[in-house]
This record gives sequence, C-alpha cells and structure tokens, in this order.
Amino acid sequence: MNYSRRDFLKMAGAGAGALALGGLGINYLVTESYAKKLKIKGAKEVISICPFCSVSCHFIAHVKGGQVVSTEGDPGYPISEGALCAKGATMMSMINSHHRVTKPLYRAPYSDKWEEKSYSWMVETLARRIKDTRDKHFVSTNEAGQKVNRLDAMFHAGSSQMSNEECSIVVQAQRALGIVNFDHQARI
Amino acid sequence: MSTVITSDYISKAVDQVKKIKPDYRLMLDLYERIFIAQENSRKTIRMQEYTISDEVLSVKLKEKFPLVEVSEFIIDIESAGELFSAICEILLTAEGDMSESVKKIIDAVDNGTLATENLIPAFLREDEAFFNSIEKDHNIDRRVLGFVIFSCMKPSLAMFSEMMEKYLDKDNEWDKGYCPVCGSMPELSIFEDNGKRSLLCGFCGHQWPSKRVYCSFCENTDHETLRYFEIDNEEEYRVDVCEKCKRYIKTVDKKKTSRTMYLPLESIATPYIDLKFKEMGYIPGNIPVDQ
Repeated sequence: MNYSRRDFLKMAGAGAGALALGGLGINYLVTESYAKKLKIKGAKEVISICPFCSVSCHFIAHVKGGQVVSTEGDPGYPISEGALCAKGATMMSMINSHHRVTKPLYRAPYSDKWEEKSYSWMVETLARRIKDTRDKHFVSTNEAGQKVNRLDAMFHAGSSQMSNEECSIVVQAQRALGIVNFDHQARI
Repeated sequence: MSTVITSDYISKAVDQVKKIKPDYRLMLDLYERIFIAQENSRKTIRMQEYTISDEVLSVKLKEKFPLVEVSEFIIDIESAGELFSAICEILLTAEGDMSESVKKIIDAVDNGTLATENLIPAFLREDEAFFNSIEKDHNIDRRVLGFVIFSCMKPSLAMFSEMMEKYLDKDNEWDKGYCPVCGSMPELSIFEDNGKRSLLCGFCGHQWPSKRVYCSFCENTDHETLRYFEIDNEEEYRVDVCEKCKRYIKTVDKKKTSRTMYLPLESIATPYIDLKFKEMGYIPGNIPVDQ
C-alpha cells in the first residue's frame, strides 16, 4: 500500500522538479564546463551520544576517510535541539585527544605504570577480585543478630550512558552481591 | 519572522548569484523576470475555499496520507492564463531553440489550438496522451510547454498549499519524506540557521521539518549508506546522496552564507551540480526512475 502510493506521488512531482531552464538547454555549455571543473569531497554524518551526563544529548559527527573532522549538536534531538554545553561542544577534542584511552589499561597496586591488557584478562581479574572481596567482607547479620546481607567494602558508580535495561541488570547484580554503597557518575 | 518576498528582494537575491556566476547571466535574467512575474501574479489570484471534512482529515492524518492529491489543487485559471502569456513573452528573449519553441506555443494559443483552461487540468491529471498529441500534431516541445504551464500555476499552487496548512497535524511533526500537503517529493533540502533541516516540496512549495540523517526518497536512516558531498568554493551547498536508492538531493546551508536567500532560486541556480551527480550515477530525488 505504502509503496504503490509513494510511486504515484513521485510521478506527480515529476512535472515540477524535472522542469528547469538549466535542464531545457539554457546556458548548457556553461553547465557542462562548470560540472567538469567541479571539485567535491565526500563525508558522512553519524549521530552519536555525548558521554558526559545523563541528558545524553545527541551530536552529529562529520566523518571523512574514517576520521571525525567536526562535531555539532543534533538539532533533531528533542531535549537539547542542537545545543551543547561547554563539555559537549568540545567533543571533537575528546574524540581525537592523544590522552584518550582506546585499550584496556591496568595499573597494579603500588605501581606507577599502566600496562596494556586484554579484555578477557580484565573481566577475569575483576570477577576474581569482586568474588574475593565479597567472600572476605560480606556481612550476613549485624551486631543485634538481624539479617542484613550487605557488602560495605565495595562501591558502585553508575553510568549515564546505560540504558534502562542495562541499569536494571546492574542493580540486580548489586543487590545479589549485597552492595549498598552506590551513586551515579554525574553526581561525582 | 518570515521574510516578505518583494520584487526588490528577488532582484537582490538574483543579483548576488549573478555576481558569483556571471556565466549564468542569461538563465538568471530569465528567472529573475519569471520569479517577479510570479510574485506579482499572487496579488491577482482569487483562491476558492476548499474544505476537508473532519472524517476524511482524521483518516489522512492517521494514515500519514497527504492532505490533497495533486489533481485536487485549485488553480485560478484567469490569473494563471495571464501569467502564462507573460512567461512566454519573457522566454521569447531567450533566443535559440527556446524562443522557437515558445513562438510555436504563442501561435497555438493565438489561433485557439491551445488554451490554459485545458492545459492546466491536463497537467494536473498527468495526461500523457494529451501532451503527446500536442507534441505530435503541433511540433511543440512538451518540456518547454510543461515548464511554462508549471511556472504559471506556481503562484496558485503555493497559495492553495498555504491555505491547506491549517489542516496539518500541529501535535505530531510530519516525519515522512513526501510533502504533507500534496505528497510530492522534495526538490531542495535546507539547513536553517539553528542547524535544523527542512525539505522544500518540488510541487507546491510547502516546507516541512526533516531528520538530518535520512533519505526522504527511500526512508533510509543508516549512516553507513548515507553520504554527503561538499562543493569546493561553494560551502553553502552540499549534496546528500543515498547509496541504497542512488538518489540525491541538493542542500543549502543558510548558516554558511550571508547571501539573500530565495529558495526557488537556490534549487535552480546550480544545474552543474545536477549534471555532475547524474554523471556519477545518481538520480535526482524528485524524478521517477524510468524518466
């Protein structure tokens, strides 16, 4: 239904757009010569999300040859309507900064050096430490003998870039571990 | 605040483009006179009332159908007829094949073979057979005839479209690639000063908001297959292309120029961009594939 109707509508518009003096031969040699000399540069627009706070404003990244060459607020995003705060407005420098961390880095206790590690090593190490910390510090009852099932030795910082569904899983994990100390990244 | 279009405004806009592209003086001179004749013609148009019943309107808005079909547009035939003659007179000065074609049209009108009363309804109902027979019997270039008919209808089309705007859904923004008033495809994409994108209908001139990363011809929103090309030394223009349907649309970015902006001029002042992109294998968005 939708397709056949739109084909018809395109036909209807054809009379309009197809008819222009340039297309009817007026100054055609000029047009040919201009077209031959015309230099063009291709690029892409990619919509992404600002990582700085929970408003999660959309921004448009202009990408040329795989590199982000400029960023601007997305005017189609209903919350900010294209506006960006001072942090969001500097998105370009964050993306292309030489300080930007692009691989997992690990600094061992008492070390002053960062070491590059694989993601699987990171996940395994984190899991090990969470388990060890919980095993060591988990409190099932308080001094009055009341059941509390809590883990005071661990803190969780939430991220504004997580979706509702991700947050739901994280909170369930926190509850399962007994974590009671947590806050949101934007408030820190 | 919307811009008030006057003859001086049009002349100023055209003059600025002429300075940048002096080689297009002939074409731009013709357009300047046509645009001014069209604006002046608006003052003489008597537009009849046209109402859409609540029942029909609610279905159209719900189903995202355009408010009216092209064939339903009301044209002030008398005013369009006067403009038809005025545009023919302007095009006579073009010389070459164009003026020859226009002379034949004028002769056919003078001897009663052609009349705007018949031409306009035939154009609106896309009567191929009617225009084929004119071309065959009277040796009149139907593209030139089509240009004159469409140009003389434009003020009525725009006024009718403006009259229909009161029926548009104020609560839900139109998110389709075709015109919410007449269903035609856009001929120009515009970035406003605040970066918002809008599309200009190639038929009735209605302007509506649009998403930025979006092909209005196939509704593609995948940034991997949507690209744009910047034009060297003309930074106010860019061309948005869709690799999925191979269609393109020219975009004018108001932020990047201080020129006086008259949108009908912007869409026709860059035919070399159209030629370049056709050579690259892209198709203008508002033309059916089989043409």
